[in-house]
Amino acid sequence: MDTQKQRDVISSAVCVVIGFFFCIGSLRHGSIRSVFPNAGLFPLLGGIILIVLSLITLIGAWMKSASADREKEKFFPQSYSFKRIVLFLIALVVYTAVLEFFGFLLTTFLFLIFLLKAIESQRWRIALMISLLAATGSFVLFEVLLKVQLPYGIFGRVFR
Amino acid sequence: MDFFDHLLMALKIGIEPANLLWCFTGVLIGTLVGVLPGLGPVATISLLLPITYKLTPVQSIIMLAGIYYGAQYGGSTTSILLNIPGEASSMITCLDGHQMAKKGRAGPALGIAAIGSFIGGTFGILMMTFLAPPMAAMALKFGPPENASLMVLGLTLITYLSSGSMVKSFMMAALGLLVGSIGTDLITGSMRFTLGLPGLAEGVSIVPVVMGLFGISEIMLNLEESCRKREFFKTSVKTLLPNKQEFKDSAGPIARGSVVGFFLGILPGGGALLSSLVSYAMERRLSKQPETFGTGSIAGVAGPETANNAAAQGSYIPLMTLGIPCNVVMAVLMGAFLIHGVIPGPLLLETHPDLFWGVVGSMYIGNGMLLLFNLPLIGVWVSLLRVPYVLLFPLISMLCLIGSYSIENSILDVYIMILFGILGYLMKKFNYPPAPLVLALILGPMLEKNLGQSLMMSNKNLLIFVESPISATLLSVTVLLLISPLILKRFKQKRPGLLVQGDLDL
Repeated sequence: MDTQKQRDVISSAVCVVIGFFFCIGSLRHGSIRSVFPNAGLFPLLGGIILIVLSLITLIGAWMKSASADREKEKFFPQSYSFKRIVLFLIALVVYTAVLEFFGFLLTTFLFLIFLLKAIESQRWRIALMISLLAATGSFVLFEVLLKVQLPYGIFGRVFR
Repeated sequence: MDFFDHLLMALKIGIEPANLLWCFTGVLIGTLVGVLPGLGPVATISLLLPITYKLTPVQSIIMLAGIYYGAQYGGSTTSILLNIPGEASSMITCLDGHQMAKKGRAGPALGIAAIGSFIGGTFGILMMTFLAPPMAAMALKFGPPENASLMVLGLTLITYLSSGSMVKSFMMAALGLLVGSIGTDLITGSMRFTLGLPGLAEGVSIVPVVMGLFGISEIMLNLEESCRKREFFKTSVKTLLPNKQEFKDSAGPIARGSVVGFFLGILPGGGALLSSLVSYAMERRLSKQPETFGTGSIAGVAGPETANNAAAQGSYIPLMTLGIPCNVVMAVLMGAFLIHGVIPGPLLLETHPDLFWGVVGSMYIGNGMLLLFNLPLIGVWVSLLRVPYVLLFPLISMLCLIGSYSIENSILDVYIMILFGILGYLMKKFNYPPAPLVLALILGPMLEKNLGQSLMMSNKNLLIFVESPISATLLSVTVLLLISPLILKRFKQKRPGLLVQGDLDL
């Protein structure tokens, strides 16, 4: 996916599919039978607009000649780009999955340590210090000072 | 005269101690956020929304509003000193501002940026004081058909003025409309596209979307490359005041920047970035020495910096008088109003005049604070920039996670944020602008509601939209906008050159 044309073709094709799904979904609300505003009308219109515009982009990109195509840089600029991004996303998803189980403090602490070591490895002293400070600091700021409810998790019961 | 009554009222409420405190907090955070690249007013306001639960509506809006116009002050610092824009709207300041710094004139550049920002901002607030009451009065006469047409026009404008391909912008707007339809339909009460998830019954909340699209995706983009240390420009920023000649050269740009910036700020889709670009282009065209632009001309700093602040102030007006956000920041700020049970719009002036004028008053004071405190604190801001990104991004990620969770104590919201983070990353890679999606997400349900009400009023007769003169006018302008690229093909070719790929007001 290194050229603009390839990216346009792929992305607009995906948009056509998305529009299609919304249109099908909206028909369940009986929108084609009456003009009266019903639940399906708006998403149907939106879906149709998306499909039409995506097709315009798709066809336009497909028909572009090779000479008109702009050479783009590689999709992932460096060899390590993909790995770093995936690690980051995994960290985010795992954090969200276990947050309510392990509670805010522990989950955040581990999350920060992971990011500080796995992406661009820092020294253990720095990683531990920053993670500890940030986790407890934000806990104090959000839970104590601002009274925002943060999850306690199974270990938190001990402190309550 | 009404104007002076309102002005006095505004200032009276603005200087109440609690309001002063939160105003100061807001503009301080705003400057900080403006200085730090990678974190913008959009993500910050979203992050701080939950904090404002404990404050009064007046204090909340004062603080959050301060973040936005404060960021316009802060962004110029890194542009001038490091050639890195802290905010997208300060991008153009890099051109001449950094050149001035290289010539040893960093101080005057920073000084004129602050002074211009103050004048532009104050002009914007004065216009707001003047224009808001008549605009709100006019908007009170709007019924559902007029509101619907106004929203269609607003959405079209936002998409029209977005950077990049117009077709792609409209695609993103359509996608925003679709995402906005997820949840309970306001008219029939049926659930749409909720996939059986109770958390989606209220629809997709704007805060996780915005934090994902602008916060998480930005981090992902930055992670592609190794986190290099920033090169530091050692500059003695001793004299902050421009000399007499520089003041003279800046007067015109500041005056023009204020006016241009303000009117571009009111336009949906306009905003700080567009106005700074237009101001720069205008000053270069009007200058007697256009060849100096790009080598350190102070007009190239004064004009854009004034314009972006005037635009930022102007952009509050559609939200607070018409109830229509005209850029992504205002869309998030609208969320702040709604959290406190206040509906922004023409009724705001009637039902909550203290809130409205309190916010206006705090803007005058906030701009003054920014002028006074910004310059002496430059050393502090610069030293903050020394924190390596590799240490910053985990903290920013953590704040995004907490922020999206704490809106409704919902894990689903965090997943939504991550999803939109991935989407935002892909959108940037594939060249699709995110702003139309966000605005359509907010305006879509509102538009649908007004459409539905209009059709119920007219008994399914579509002519109701053209029977009202206001509505007909608004729709005609919309149609003109939509067909203009076909007519003005040459203009369309120039447009991508003017606007740079990037997000407005991030």
